[in-house]
Amino acid sequence: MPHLPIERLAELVDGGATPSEREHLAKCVTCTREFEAYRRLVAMASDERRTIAPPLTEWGSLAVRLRAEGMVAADGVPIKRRSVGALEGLRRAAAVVVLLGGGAVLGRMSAGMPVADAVAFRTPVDVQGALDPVPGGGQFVTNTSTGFTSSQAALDVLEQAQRQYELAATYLASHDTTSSEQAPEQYRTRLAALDRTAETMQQAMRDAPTDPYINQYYLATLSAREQTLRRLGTTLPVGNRLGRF
Amino acid sequence: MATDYALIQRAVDGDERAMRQLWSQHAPHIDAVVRRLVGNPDDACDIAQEVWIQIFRALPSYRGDSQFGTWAHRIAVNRTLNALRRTRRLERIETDIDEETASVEHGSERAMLADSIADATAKLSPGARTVFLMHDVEGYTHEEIAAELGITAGGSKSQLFKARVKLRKLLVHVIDGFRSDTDKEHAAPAY
Repeated sequence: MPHLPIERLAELVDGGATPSEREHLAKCVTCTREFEAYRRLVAMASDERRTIAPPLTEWGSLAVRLRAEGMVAADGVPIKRRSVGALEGLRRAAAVVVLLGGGAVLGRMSAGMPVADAVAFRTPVDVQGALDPVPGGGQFVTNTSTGFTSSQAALDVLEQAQRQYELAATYLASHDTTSSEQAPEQYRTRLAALDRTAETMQQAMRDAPTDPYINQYYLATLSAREQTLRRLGTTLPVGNRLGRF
Repeated sequence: MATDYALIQRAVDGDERAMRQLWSQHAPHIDAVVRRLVGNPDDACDIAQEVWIQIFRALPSYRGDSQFGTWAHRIAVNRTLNALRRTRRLERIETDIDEETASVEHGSERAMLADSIADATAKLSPGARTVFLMHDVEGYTHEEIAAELGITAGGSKSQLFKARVKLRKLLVHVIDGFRSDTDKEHAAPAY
């Protein structure tokens, strides 16, 4: 039997040798020597993990950043940091808004309602604040805030803005006459851009799954993508249907 | 670790001394991870600072399911990879490792030799270095590497074995005279 390929020897360090490879290694001094060399390389790499070195960071500059971000208590008064559970709840609540809204539309479509009517016929989301009527049945929250008293207040407004965005996107999907003559290619271009944006935001969410801003943008992107898919569905030639959303 | 847990609680509350203590306990390891993955010391300094900011930001999410060092290590790897991705140093992973591997075959053997794993991995392409470091040094599985780098587990394996072959050549004089404690623990062949 010829010598084992070097990449295979490099792989066998992790196990998985076949009976014939074992037999060969038992007899071939050259392959065994090379195999042992790879074992030593992997052992060296493993030892490397235990290596420590002087820190790259310096506490003074780190502390400046931490203070600037409000993570350091002033005068010994503990700061109140929003727990992950609370942020997760906010994210899930926002996701539920999108899913319920989308689900309601899909339900109406499955009941035979035209896409445009199904999208327009959407129960306004219950939002806090002064509500202004919007053509088509939606409602806008009038934002009269001139400032925020707390992070929670700001997050509440962000959540309201997200809902307003969804309502506006829904309204535009069924009433925007300026884009009614767009070709399917234009919707596909928009869809591709939204897919890229969604992918980027999804990546960001892996980094910071509880960041409310990233969550808001991600959900807004999904919402816009859903609307675009529906618009695309209305522009396809008669008899052509979108295979899936 | 109970000490870590108490420290973490105080750090979450904004106690700067607790935060500093956490940093001083774990920075040698965390910063070493960043240094290994980045390679370039100047870039590594900036990224390490961002890693620590992220660790403190995420501190309220630490639930003690794993040791703090393990949890922080994951954040360090993740943030460092993202930083490298932003600077486009992880692009064309499949391509660049092939180019790098080929250069060993035809380059000056003497000029390519390295004295340590750190020196040798610095001579790998960014993608190959990342896969090797994540698997053989940091202990990630191929599936985890695939998820982090957006490649397949098979692609991760392929790159790892090529990286090992190149490192074997770069470290030939070191490896052939190397005996580690780990060898004693694995006296029998691992297949």
